[in-house]
Amino acid sequence: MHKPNRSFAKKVFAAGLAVSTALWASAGLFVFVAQAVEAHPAGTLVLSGGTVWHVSDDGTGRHGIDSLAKFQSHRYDFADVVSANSADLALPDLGLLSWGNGVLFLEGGTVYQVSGGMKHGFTSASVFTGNGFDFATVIGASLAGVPVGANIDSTSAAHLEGTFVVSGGTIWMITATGRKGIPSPDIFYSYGAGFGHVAAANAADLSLTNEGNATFRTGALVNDGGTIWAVTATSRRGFPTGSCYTGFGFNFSMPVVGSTSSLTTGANYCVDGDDVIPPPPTSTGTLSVSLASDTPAAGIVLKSQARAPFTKVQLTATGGDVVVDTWVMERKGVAADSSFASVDIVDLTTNATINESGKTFSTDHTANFTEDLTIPSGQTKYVMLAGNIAASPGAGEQPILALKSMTLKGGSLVASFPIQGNAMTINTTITIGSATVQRGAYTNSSSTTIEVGKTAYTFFSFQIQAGSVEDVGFSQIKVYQSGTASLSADLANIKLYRDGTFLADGVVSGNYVNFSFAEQLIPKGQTFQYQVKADVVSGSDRTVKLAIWRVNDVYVVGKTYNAGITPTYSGTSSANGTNTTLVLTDNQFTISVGTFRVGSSNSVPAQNISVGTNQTLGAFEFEVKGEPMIVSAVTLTVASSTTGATIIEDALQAVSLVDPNGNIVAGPTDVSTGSGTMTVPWTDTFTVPIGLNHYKVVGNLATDGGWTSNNTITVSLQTPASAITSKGEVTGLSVTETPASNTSANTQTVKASTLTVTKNSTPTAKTIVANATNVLLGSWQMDATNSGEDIRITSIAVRASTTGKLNTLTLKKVSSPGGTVLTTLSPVNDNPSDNGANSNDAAATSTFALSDPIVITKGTAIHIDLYGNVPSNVNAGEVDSYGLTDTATASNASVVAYGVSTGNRATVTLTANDGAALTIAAAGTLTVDEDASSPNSRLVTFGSNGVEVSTLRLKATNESIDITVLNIHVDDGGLTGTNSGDYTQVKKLYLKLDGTLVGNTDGYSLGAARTTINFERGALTIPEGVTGKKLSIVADIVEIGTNQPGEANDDIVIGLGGTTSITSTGNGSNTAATETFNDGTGSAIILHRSVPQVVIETPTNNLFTSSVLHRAKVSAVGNTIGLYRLSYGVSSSTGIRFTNGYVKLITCGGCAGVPDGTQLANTVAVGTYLADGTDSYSFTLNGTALGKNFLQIGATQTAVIDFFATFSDDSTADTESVSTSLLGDTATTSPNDVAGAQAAGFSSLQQGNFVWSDLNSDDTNGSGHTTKQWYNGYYVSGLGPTTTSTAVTVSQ
Amino acid sequence: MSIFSGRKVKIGAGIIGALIVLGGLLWYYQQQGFIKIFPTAEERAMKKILEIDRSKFRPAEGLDPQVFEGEIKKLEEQKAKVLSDPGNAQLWFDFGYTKEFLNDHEGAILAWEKSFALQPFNFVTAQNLGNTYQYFIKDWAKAEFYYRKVLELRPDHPQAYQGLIDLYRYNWPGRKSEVEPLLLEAIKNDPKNKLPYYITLVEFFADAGNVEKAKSYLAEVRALDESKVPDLLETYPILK
Repeated sequence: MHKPNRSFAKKVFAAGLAVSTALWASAGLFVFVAQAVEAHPAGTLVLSGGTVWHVSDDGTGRHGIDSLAKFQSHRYDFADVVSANSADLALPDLGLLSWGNGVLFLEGGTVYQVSGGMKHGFTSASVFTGNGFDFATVIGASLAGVPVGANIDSTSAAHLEGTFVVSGGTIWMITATGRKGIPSPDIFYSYGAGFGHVAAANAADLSLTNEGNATFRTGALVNDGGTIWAVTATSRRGFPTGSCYTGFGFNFSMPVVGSTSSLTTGANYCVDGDDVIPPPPTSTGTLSVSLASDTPAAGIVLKSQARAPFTKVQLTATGGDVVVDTWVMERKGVAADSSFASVDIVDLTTNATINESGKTFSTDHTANFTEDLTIPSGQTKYVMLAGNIAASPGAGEQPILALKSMTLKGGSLVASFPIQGNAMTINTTITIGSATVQRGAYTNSSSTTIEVGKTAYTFFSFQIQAGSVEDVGFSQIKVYQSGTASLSADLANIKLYRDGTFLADGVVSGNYVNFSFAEQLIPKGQTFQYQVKADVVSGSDRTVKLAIWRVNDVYVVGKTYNAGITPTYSGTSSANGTNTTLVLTDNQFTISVGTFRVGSSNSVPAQNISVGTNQTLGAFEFEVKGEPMIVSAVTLTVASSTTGATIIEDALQAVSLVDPNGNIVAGPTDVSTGSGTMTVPWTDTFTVPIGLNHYKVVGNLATDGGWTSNNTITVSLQTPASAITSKGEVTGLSVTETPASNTSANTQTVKASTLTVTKNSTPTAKTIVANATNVLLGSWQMDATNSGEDIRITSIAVRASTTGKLNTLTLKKVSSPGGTVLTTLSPVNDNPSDNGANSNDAAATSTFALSDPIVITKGTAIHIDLYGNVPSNVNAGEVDSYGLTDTATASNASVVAYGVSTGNRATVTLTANDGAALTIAAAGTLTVDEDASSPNSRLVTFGSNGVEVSTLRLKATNESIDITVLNIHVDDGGLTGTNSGDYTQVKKLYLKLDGTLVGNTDGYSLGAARTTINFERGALTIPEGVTGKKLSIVADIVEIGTNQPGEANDDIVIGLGGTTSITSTGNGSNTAATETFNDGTGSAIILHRSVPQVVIETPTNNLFTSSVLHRAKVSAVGNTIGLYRLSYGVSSSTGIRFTNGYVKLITCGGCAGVPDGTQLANTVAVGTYLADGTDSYSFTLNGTALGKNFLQIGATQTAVIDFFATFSDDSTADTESVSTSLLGDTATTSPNDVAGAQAAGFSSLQQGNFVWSDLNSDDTNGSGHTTKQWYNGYYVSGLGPTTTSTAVTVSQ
Repeated sequence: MSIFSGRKVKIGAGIIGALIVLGGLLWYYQQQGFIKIFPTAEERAMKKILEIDRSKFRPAEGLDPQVFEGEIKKLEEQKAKVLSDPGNAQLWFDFGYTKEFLNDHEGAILAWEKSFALQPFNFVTAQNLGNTYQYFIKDWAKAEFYYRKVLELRPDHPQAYQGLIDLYRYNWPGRKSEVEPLLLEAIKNDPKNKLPYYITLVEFFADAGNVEKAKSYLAEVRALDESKVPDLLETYPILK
């Protein structure tokens, strides 16, 4: 007998075995232990001693599989491997299995396709993908020892043997001699392939000999209408009973669903018709059994204690696996059998009992266990003989539990029976805690619609409540499936959670799933909630009803003595205290077939289509849940606005259904009519995967089909359940598609292939400068909004009127005219010359035959810009222009465009335009203006920082311009009645552009009236455009006071001095820009230690005999001020004259102690004539009530001053009104010392209406008013440079 | 242990104890105002503000080195004045002013904040703080805080509005939406400058491409001063 190279298998096949073992456990193959006496069907994969064997296709022998890669080369799945039986192992060893064909492997960075016993390397990724392969299907593996065959270096050669290719909806399997069609998905699946493995067929494939249809792969299990057959290429054999089938180790998730009617029926397996008697499994090794050295010491056990440990037994297998067949436990020692409720054997590997239910002692004090336990060769297992102590045992008894005997299923046993541990003393005085188990809070209601594909569904919910005696530890539970579904085949990912938090993966063993986990401590009196969740992978019409079989399947211990507790079961569906019925069950859930919903898909919106091939007619969304759906027929209904069915029948042809990957899955099929309805009857079979997928309908609109613009086409499925025939891929059951109403795709409108070309408004006629690069010369919109198909532009011929000096003409696809460049097109053209005409009336043509044509998606528009460079040899005044001028529609020469789908010349609508006139200039121009928001002349306090003294608007035309030199001028403000100021009043200057300091942020010191500031190129750039930039000159003003440079009443002006104050360079031309200086010298500011600020309010009272005519709020800004005179102009609506005017301080709060309500000056009996109808009232604020010879207003304080006057109403009409103004000064004449005068030096109505002081030298009563520190109201905030401030009107 | 070493320990412990008692007494007397030995927390803070660190000074471009040195000398003199009268807000202001001139912006802020704490109604100090925080320290939140302080004291102070316009319009990301409410507030509280405020609103919305708003404020400009309109239309053709 040939034996595979085990060492190689261990190394190379280790991963496979690991996977196999894992699947073994989870797939429940231990349950279906091979029991048939007959060898497995031909083609079956069987496992023995770590080696996978393949029963030969004729069933007469077996082949060893010596590597994981070879296993995978046949597209085998470990889920299809079952345990070998003795008959298999009795088959002749026919040597190693040969390599499979067609599978792709990655080895050492090279992708190979194994075929014909050799590995064929792909020479490049493009060859790989060009052959239609997907890197996702490549398997990483070692192909050591596989001969190297010819490289695959062509995409036109036929695919290698074993490759699946598709053409026209048919899948072909390439064979060594030709190709075989795959007639149905089940046959396809029997080869272990998926649709991801299918490549597009090429011409060479299709030229191979058609060898007819392929049949099932030998060894496949096929569910044909509910009967499962084991098939070969030509025959089938059935299983008369379920146990016969499962006896081979097969489970019900293995078969594919399909038809086997074409195969010859052979004899059934298990020919006797009986559930075959299993042959004894072969134990080939020797089992040594002994008392474990750490068997529990003599101690006590408690009444009602569960799984009280007595004797630990060690079992070691050597020379081969050993299966224990039976165990006999004996109660010994001074005790009664009745002191035990039952006894268990606990497998300490899993801490679970090997016996499904507890055993009781017979009259000879023995308990028999018939459960098998396998000890793998070379391993040691430990089991514990444990007792479940009765509720009322004999106090003080000292029982011993011993292993009296055991039998094996073959092999040798080395043991000295009985094997017994120490005696345990029964204590009946200690009461251990309790635990109550019942249904939990997460229990779902019974359901018959648990779809295949549902994940993490809670099938079982239970709660454990610790009694009041002690805390309880919970570390294990054994859950029983009492429904008909297979835990291993129908469910997956069975997990235990506590309140949604994962605790443990379940280990399936037959109808049980065991969970072992770190002990959960449940404090006494508390209740913990648990859930068992699982995914549903198959099992339609089968049920899941999870339960706890017996009381001790929930393993809990009291934490005081670590003594096992027998839980109490209560509540719904519980049956406490018995080992023969389920002690707790949850609701029953029935697994349903998957679902299939059809809907309209907006992946193809209502849009325009054109006459031609491969037009998209609409799309549907297929939402499949639970299991993939095998669709075997679809009837598409077509409606059109064309007249009469016969027209569309001829006009619409080759309609196909295309899956999301672009593969045709049904059709192409022509439209047919019947009963006046136009339909497309597809009978192709395809599989719709789980999830939401969009399928398009495409077809050909015949050019001679009579289509006219605005014809519509709507495809629909006239009630999906009627229009589609499908069944679940897993369950094989038919599905009723939803909804029960017609489903239409979005309507498509037939349009011609059209393109509208329009010149954009940008660029307008403009000046461009020499040396400028990347200048926008022209821009057009290319609009395919109304086209029935995408438009491809292959050529653009620009009409150029030019001297030919511009160069590097480049077309660019842009986001907007002059906007972001999306694609720079090729070629780049030289500028054509108009042969010296130098006029935009003459023309030459620059044709751009596009290297990569522009494609415009139908329903959209794009912008194309033309850019070029302006050389240095241009002459100022030359004019260029670039336009598109051909107005022909059928074969437009300016824009050559075609329909992408049809390839037909598109109809172009173009309005001829020669383009904007581009006039050459030598350089750009920088214009300097005072910005509209530049501050006016005003008073400013000394010590102020950041005073904006001038704001300039800088604009660049023709090109962006860098400013390199600014010359700042600081001069006397030139205002009358002020001191002549200069640069010494400025501490520092800053420049601010868009709110941020530019230039030297440490500021500029002024050492003279002219200060030059230099900038690096690019440090201060003015972009081309009419908006330009706003540049502010900001000053820090010096302080005033002792040893401070500030001079009271100085006025200064800061700005630029004209064109000589600025130097700039154009960025395009790189030559000096022309500066145009309109304004920018700034407005004067007058400097004071402090300044008054006046706000005027309208009194709220009506006009009566003696009323308030005016209210002024005078504030001291910066520091204390003195107020010496206020003057008012009063005019009434009827010319009436007022008498007895006076001013009163209403509020202040900081006026040197002058109380509110104080009259500030003597009453003026009659006003002074000012103008016709207007009198003036002037008040000198120097009364004794003020404490000083002026009203002192503290820093930041505000004096509210009202003006009162008396009048006599000589009318009964009560329509009198009076307007009053606080008078300011224009300073047009300055009789006083410009640095300040004495207060009395000002005369009212002679530039002395409003007299104030910043008290910069003296604020005393005696001399403050005679010190030369007083000023008039010229430019006082609120008064301005005018005499009359805003008048307020008071009416009767 | 010898008898001598034991005696040394006792002597050392005695000295330490005496020092502790002496220190405690000195502290007590200082607390009672009898003596002055330990600096208070306030004095330590003042010392930090008055620290003169030449490495932090930078001359403005074009400043005569002698003037630069003169300013530093003046700073020393101002420091002495502050120490002689630390409750005088003006002296603190002057000290900060000179530091600001020397481009020690952090130092200027410390002095001005001290001045502002002593004289919280001096909006000029707050204005300087707002400007320094915005244009040099670039702490937008602090700049806004001080500008708003100015407007609490003088709701009609145009420089504070100008500072906030720069802050919201150009410097503080995500605050552009506050420009319009700010300017409307300025127009309400500082009506004598409503024209430049309306012009700023026109520019702001024209720059943002909001023609409708820009035109609505242009109408306000036109009503106040027709002569300003042509320049704005030339600068922003979209408003034509």
